[in-house]
Amino acid sequence: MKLKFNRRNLKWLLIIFLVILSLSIPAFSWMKKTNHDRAMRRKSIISPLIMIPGSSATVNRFDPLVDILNKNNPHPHSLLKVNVGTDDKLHLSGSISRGDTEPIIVIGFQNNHDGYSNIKKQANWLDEAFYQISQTYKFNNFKAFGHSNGGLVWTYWLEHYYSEYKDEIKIKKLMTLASPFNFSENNINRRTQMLNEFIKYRSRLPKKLIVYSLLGGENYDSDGIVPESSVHAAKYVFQKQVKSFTEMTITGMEANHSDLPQNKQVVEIIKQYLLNKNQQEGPLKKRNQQKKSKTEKVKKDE
Amino acid sequence: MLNAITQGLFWLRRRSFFRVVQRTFVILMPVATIGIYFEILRDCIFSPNSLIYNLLNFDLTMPDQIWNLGNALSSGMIKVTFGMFGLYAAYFAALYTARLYNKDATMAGLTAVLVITFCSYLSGNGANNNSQIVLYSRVLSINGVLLALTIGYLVGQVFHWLGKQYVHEKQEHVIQIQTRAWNSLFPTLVAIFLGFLLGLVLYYFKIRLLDSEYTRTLVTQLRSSNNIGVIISLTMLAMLSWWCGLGFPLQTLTHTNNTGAAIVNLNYALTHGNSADVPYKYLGSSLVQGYGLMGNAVIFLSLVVVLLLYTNDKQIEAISKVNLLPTAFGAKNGLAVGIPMILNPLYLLPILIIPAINELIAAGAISTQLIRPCVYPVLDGTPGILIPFFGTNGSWISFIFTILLFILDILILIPFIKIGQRINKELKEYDEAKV
Repeated sequence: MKLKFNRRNLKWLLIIFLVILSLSIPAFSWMKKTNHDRAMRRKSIISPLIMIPGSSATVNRFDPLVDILNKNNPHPHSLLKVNVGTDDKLHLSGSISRGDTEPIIVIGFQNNHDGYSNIKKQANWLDEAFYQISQTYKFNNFKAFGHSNGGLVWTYWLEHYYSEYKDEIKIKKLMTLASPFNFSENNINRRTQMLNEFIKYRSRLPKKLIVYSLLGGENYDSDGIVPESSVHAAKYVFQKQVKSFTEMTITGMEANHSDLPQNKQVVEIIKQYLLNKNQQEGPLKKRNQQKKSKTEKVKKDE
Repeated sequence: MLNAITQGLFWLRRRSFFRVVQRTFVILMPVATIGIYFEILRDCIFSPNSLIYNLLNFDLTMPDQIWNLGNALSSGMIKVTFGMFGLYAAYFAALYTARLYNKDATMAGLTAVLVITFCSYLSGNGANNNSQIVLYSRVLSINGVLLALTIGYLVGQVFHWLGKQYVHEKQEHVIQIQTRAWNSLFPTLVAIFLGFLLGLVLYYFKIRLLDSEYTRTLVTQLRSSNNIGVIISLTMLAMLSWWCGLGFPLQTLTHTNNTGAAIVNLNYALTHGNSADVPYKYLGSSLVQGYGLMGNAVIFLSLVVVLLLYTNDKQIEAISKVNLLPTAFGAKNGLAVGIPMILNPLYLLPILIIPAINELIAAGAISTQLIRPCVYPVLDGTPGILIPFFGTNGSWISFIFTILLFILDILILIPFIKIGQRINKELKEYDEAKV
């Protein structure tokens, strides 16, 4: 039996060829752009510190802190302030200097009121700002800092929004400063709704995150505003969930709740624990080394 | 040589199990064809991971109502066609087996449905058993169709040995139906008892028969291996299991990969601008997806092309035409059922060797730096022959190489089509001589 070539059906193959071709042209440029963005992000050596002020505070809340940080610093951190309006619009001031690998970005909210419902809204605004900033500056890792309610906004964002980014952008460290995880409640047996929900979703927190919780001791049981036990409640959220959870107490001069952000010890701790020691190419070098050792390991296993 | 192969396949094709299986698949072609179109609808449009979704930015441009409706419609239709394929397959397998021996075919079919739903109930998760699990069970999925066919065939055999002779009549009276029902009671009971034993085995040993750890280990090994020998032998094993009617390994294999090694590769390519010197050049997940199967284009699209160009059989051409678009986008089940390919002795050899040959050639080309490994993520619903092109961030040499590989696959398939036509002719003569 001989096979006969069926010429009539060639037109069907031609049609499917045209379908694939017409799809592949826009797909090609889309692919080029996406892969370019990916490469930019991968190569990026920017590792910002993103800060959120507490309730009733504006984006200027950390100006004194940044001033102290930059004093006598050969590589001063540039400061970008982002104010998110209730209409989701971003209002930017300040800028990130070229070549600065560790800029500080402060994200504040037009609605900066207290309360769990506002914290949820603020987490949503934070996400809006974070998305746009990460698209613009294409960093692949960052550190987070939150004063008072700012720490709560970070926690809520980590539990409910971070999963969207986690493949491309890693949060390395989170530092909360006098964050009232149980609001003004000083009996830990009476958990607020917020604390209960933080605990409920704690498994979504990144396993490799390093968390520092700082608290001020104006007297023996509070920093003047936030009860110690409410700051201590953070351990029910983070302990044994993230890579490490460290608590530190600051006493002495300026240990009052509102003085804490410009407290010298706090600034020292930020320098020591939150910021990168070696500014130039730190993360990139490390990743290359990791890759090499991994390859060698696999080869040995084989 | 060709004659010997033809004779061997012809003998195999005459065994009752294979005859029943072929008939069952052919009659289920409409179900599979409907299913396949909803499958490309879901995978190419109503999936956030798909090419068209991202190109047209449906995140913003598609109203939520249309998204919800389309998503529910396509997922639901896939569920009732391919998700419950085992029900229909068991019914027709029993029916055609019983009919082969002139027994009560429809009653046999009904019994097979009883037995398989019972097995599916028992294989569910013990305490949490509820009626929904029965329909969502993997026992019924098209990826485990071997179980359904075996149950159908065995039930048919029970009717063969224990049932009374029966000729279907056009006009049945109540009294006739009563006798008929009574006659089928005994074989039904025996079949259900056997099904009960099978179900108990499934239940007690907690064999997630079709989704066992074993399957997952196989696939994980394949995807994270960088050894070409391991990759080729495991690909052949996955293809063999698919041909037998156990499609879970292949299905898991063709999903997007994010093994550690794949991410290391991607990171390397992103920092160095291209994928030429990535640490894991022959990584299973990308070699199989990119060159071995080309998102199912390798066997399925090339078979459609060969069938369209070289058969002069109206029916086969029609089925091929219907499956042209789905196979171009990587949806294989319509063709696999309509032709059929699963458990068809004729296609066993090409299904086993073609991906292996492709992987071998591709690995050789990668080692001589002719083409690049696919390391960039490729979206779902990307036409199969474009996967290596996109996976290398637009390397033209890889694209031309892919086209040549595709043509080679077509050339390998042509002799099998020849044998197939010869077998069909002989089978027809054999059947007519018997009558």
